Amino acid sequence: MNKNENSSDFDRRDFIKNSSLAALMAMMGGTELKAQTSAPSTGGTVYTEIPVGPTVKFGVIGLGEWGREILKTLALLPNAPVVALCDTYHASLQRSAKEAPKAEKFEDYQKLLASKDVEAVVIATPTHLHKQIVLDALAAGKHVYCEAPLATTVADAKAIAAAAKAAVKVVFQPGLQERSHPQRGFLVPFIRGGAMGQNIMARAQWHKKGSWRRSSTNAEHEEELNYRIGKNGLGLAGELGVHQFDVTSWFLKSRPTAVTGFGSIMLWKDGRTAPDTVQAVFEYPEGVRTMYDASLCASFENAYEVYYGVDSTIMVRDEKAWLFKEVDAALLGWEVYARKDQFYTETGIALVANATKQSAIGQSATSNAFAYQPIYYALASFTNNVGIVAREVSSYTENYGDDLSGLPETLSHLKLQPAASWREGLDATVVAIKANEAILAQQKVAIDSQLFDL
Amino acid sequence: MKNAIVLLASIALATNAGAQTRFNSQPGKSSVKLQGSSTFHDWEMEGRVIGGYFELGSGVAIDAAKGAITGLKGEVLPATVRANISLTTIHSKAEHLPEVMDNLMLGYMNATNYPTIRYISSSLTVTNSGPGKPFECSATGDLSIAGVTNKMTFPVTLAMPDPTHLEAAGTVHFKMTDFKVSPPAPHPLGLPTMKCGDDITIIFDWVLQKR
Repeated sequence: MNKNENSSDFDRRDFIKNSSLAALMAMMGGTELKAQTSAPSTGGTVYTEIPVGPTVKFGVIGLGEWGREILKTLALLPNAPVVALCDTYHASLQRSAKEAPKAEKFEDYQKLLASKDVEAVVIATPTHLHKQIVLDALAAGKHVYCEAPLATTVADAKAIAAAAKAAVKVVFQPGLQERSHPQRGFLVPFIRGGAMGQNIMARAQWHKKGSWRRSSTNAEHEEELNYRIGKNGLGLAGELGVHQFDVTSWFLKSRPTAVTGFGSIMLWKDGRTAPDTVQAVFEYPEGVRTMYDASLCASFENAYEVYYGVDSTIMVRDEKAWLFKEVDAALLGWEVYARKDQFYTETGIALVANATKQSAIGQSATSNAFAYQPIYYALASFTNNVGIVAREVSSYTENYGDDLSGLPETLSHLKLQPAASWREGLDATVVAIKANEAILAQQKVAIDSQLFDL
Repeated sequence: MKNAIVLLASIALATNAGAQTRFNSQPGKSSVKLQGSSTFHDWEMEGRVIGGYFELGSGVAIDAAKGAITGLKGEVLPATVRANISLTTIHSKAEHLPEVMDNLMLGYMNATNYPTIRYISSSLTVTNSGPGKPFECSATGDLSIAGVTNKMTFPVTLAMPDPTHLEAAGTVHFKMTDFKVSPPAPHPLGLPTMKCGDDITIIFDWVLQKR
């Protein structure tokens, strides 16, 4: 479905309109350009700019490490009770029950889907197991949040996207969580709107020393746990890089046409097949290239992205961002009021989302602007959107019965919280699959535009 | 546009004598707007789901091209009209936090107990007509909001772009307090109280298709 297909879109005209207002506000208050937040503060005040909508009852399928993180996050939302849990591994099921003690427990996801109590499911199984569960969940009329990447093959990803598109009565959201993060949405105007001038290239990295290996007393389960570093997974670039690939394509409003990859096992020589250090160069239209590297062998500089333009460069890290201007770039109306931070010999103009609320709660503008991880905003958006869509669908069918011909048009007018759709899920998954393919082959791989077709 | 469509429609709708012709709401085609004012700015909400039906009495036939209706009783069009709009399908057009406004409206309208705006027509009088033009009518009926029913009279235009579709469009003005709804006065985001005006305008464009 494409209810929220363009929810994160933006053009230059919007930027001019909104930046004028922002500049005016900055002049009036002498403060920085700011975005609002939806996060409860650490100071005890709860901000609810993601409004609490109707309650949505959840089932969570796949209770590994990330599945348990999802359970903890859902517990933070006041309208997202978890009523059912599912994992094929009994010990995982038992351990997760502590996070949702009232939830019914299933080892067979089909039985969870048969539960009328479950309105929405989060699918956090290993990537290669997503397809059938998603198809069955959509067929059962459940709203679906499927972790990213959607699948490990383009065919599976297309099958998921096609089913999601056809399921007009429910919300499908891939786990591209940055699409819902207020900071990322706040940056789109700066990347797209001309403050950087012509985009010339971008760079992204994810560095974190650690093996990614998980252990279990059950050998079969241990293999399942380690799918990310084995033959069933998409490796560092696919399983993790998919989020940064998605953001890059979103910001550049484009899709890569080719990727050249490199990968090596530099440190963790424990029988794994997936490289622990990878590099990839993506080719975008008009000569723009973006570089990505990830490593499990070093943590220096952790994760960040840099978008280079002829007038300025934007660096994004830790849910914060800075604009670095070229000396020959024109003065931006608002920049004189903005906070400046020093980075070695460079001066960055802070593009701080949430600073208004920070001021209100006495936080310094240099502290982390958001109390929660991106998954919080993604699940909050999903819950909110499911509530709104389900209510609309209910009223629609009450009035028009089974004639769904007008439903897509009706839903297209709803204002939903920003979230990725099947479209972005398919695009990012295709890029992730091709990046992993290039890395394993150590060569250039074309990304044919037909791969994105549905 | 509507006039042009009507002009193109040259086929008259002929109903069988003794049979009623029923038009049901067509999914995805209708719209309803609620407009009001406040101490901050004017506001607008919009919905896309109008339920109900429009049933022409037996022997009534509309020829849109000629601008003629047969079967009128004097100037009165024999018809039964029932429309309903679920409050949950009406959404704020505000740029920021529209859901907050939606929830505010649902609260002030007591949507838990009265989830639907209902209209039942008691008479529909044709006031003006002409070849290729929508029929201008005066509609009188019971409008129920938040559990209070008032008899309302308002202008409506009826158009028939083709023999299988009927479009009813109109504007209704009333006061919230007429329906015992207090004009909302919320405190948005810690700002000074925003007090809504009492006057409300409903603008509807209801598209129906022959059953």
